[in-house]
Amino acid sequence: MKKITTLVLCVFIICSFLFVGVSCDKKQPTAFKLIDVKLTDENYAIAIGKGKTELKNQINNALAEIDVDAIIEKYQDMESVEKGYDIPNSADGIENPLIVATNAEFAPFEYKKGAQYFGIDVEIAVALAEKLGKTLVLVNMNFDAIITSVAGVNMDEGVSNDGYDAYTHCDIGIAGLSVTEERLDSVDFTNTYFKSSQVLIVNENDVTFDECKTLSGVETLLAGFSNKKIGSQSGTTGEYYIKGSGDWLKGFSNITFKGYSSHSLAVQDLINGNIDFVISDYETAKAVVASYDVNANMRWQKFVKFFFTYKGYLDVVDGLKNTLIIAFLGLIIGIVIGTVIASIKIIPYKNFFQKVLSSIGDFYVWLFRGTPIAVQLLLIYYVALPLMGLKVSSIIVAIITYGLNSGAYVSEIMRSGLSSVDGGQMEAGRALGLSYGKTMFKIVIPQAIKNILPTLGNEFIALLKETSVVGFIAVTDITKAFQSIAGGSYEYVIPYCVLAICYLVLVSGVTLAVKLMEKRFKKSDRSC
Amino acid sequence: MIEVVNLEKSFGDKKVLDGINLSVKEGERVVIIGTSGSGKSTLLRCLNCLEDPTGGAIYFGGENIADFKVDINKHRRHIGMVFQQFNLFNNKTVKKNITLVPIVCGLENYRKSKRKNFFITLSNVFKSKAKKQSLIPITETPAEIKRKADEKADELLKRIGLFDKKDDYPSTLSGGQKQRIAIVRALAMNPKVMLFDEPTSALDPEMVGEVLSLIKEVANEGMTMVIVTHEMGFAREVATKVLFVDEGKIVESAPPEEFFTNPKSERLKEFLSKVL
Ligand SMILES: Nc1ncnc2c1ncn2[C@@H]1O[C@H](COP(=O)(O)OP(=O)(O)O)[C@@H](O)[C@H]1O
Ligand SMILES: [Mg+2]
Repeated sequence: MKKITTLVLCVFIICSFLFVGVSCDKKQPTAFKLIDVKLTDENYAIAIGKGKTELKNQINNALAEIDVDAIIEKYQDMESVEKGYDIPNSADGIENPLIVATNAEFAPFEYKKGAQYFGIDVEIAVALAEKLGKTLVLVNMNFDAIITSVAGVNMDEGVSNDGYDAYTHCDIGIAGLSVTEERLDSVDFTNTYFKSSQVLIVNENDVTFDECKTLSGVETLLAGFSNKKIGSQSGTTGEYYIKGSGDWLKGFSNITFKGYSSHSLAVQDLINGNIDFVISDYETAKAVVASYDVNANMRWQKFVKFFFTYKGYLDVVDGLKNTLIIAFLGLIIGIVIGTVIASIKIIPYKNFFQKVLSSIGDFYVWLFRGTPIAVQLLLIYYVALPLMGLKVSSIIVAIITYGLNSGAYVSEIMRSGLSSVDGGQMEAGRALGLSYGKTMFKIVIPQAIKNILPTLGNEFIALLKETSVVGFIAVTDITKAFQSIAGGSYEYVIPYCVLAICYLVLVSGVTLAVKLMEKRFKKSDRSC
Repeated sequence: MIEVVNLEKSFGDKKVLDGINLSVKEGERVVIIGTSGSGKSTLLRCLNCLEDPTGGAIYFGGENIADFKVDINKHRRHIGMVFQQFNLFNNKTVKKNITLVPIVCGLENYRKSKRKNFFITLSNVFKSKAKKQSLIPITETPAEIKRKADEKADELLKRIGLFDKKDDYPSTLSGGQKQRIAIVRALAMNPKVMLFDEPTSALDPEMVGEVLSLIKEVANEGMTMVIVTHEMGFAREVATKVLFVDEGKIVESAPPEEFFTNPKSERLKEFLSKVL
């Protein structure tokens, strides 16, 4: 059995690699080009929590002293930038930190090569921290989460400026953020450090916009489309340009918008023919067009370069560690919570106290099974904990959230496990003079766990895979690690294939471990 | 030893036991017979409060154990029980089945005594010499508790000829073997009284004999017993008193000779004519 599993696994891995290679060679992806018409006028600025006037002034003063133009000039040719920065991603144990939220999949403003940070914003952040005399901490999170983490939870009036700090996760956000009305509702912005605009990216052989040289020409064409799809990174100005936003952007209701977690993925979908155009910030669009390689061999070389030369494996090892820690500790917490709830629920005649506990258990299961884990992560990390005034590191929050989530599922699994144990076992224990709890722990629960071992194994596998959304609260898991490599190199096919294989290997390992454990338990269970 | 006064038990609206009065004296062996569904098991299970009585009192060891406030676990350790379905612990070996509860209880008492002694020592510091409390004597260390339980289990297993099965799991044993182990598991607690609920009803016929002879052996050593059974010959042989239960009431109670040869009530006559 073991051999067959291993064999199937190996065959699958080889097949998937072959598939990657062959498909890239055969289907030469088309190139794409940039339509050089500026669709918007935008000001990039640094987001800062409302009411932090002093920090804002300090930053504005520092910004005035930094030669931003020189930095931008340097990144005109991204390939030539050699020096990156090693920046801690957590403020734990750091004195006087400047905690900056960003999304390092936005070249040339912020991107990673392996474990090192590069980009215009990154250099600005480094210079800022130096001028303010603080230690820079860069928290790499999903773009959608940046404003939230800078704004913190909007507390009622009357909270002092000092008080605000405690409820905010990041001091400032530097991520090519345009100043918009909506964002101004939640955060404040410093002075502008860069003027940008949105542009379109289209397939090389697409001639739709070739004749247009003016903004009104492009907008007339856009307004006349039917059945066209435009993609962009979710939450960026590109999205609002299509969807419309208040008085500023009127939007195009005739065009379907598709949001992606990074510009590079939007471009990939453009190449695959699923959308017609990509809308993106000018500088980013230029970087994407410049760094895209059509050659399959180049894809491998790029991956190898980012994985080994730029030490991307460090992120991957870190991510793998986090994925395993979150899933494993999550399951342990889940089993403890689930067992307690199930044990209370199966008491046949409950007293008042037990009835209350049982209802609390019902409510808890209802709550955590009824909401997606990503929502739970966001609510606990960005809302619940700040409201309680607690600062907890994001990995701990992830472990607890996955534990709570899996507790809800395990309680149901455990309940069926406990009721699968013959009632005579409990009676025999009680008749001999053991307490309910002791009989439960020594006799019933071990038998229940044996019965539900395969189901628990499935729960662990599900948990392992669900950890792929911890990026929402800025934890680097294995998915996030490969996303970083993909985002930095504008090359996804290979990172995502390798990621899939990593998950397959992990899940196969778990499956095997569960099988072995079952075999061990079978000893006590030959005939019944 | 056990005094049952006006015991009542209902499941929801259904009254299963209705005004049971029963006294079991030391060394007595009470056999309960009756038709299926008449309430025999329920009566037996009320005696160690596996079913909580809904009325009346049960006196054991000087306390009314039907009262929710008493520590029932303490009393159950002196009341052995043998089930129709054996109910050996499936996740424990034969030997662990026997030693588990004696060891757990022994360690529990040991820890309790140590805890108490700690507080006595603490409070003694503040007391005058004359008023100082003496410590609870701790006679056995945890290792000794385990060793004694092991020795006792070995001795019991040898007695029933199943010593070579001590490391096997229950699922590998025959019904007769399981039930004999269940009996010695109860004996390992040194009970004052033993309750048997149809101990042979789930057995293949060829295994009934070995179980009954073990029960007889235990009976001959003077163990107080309450037995529910359909084995009339065995009842006659082993009982000092036989009860006939019908619709939750004790209809007839007599020494075995008289009970079987000279039944008084119509219901018992009818029952005996069917089973004998
Ligand atoms: N847990 C229970 N819930 C409801 N009814 C029960 C329960 N246990 C026993 N009964 C009912 O009580 C009656 C007596 O049962 P029992 O004492 O097992 O009879 P016997 O052992 O004499 O065959 C039966 O009618 C049975 O259906
Ligand atoms: Mg019965």
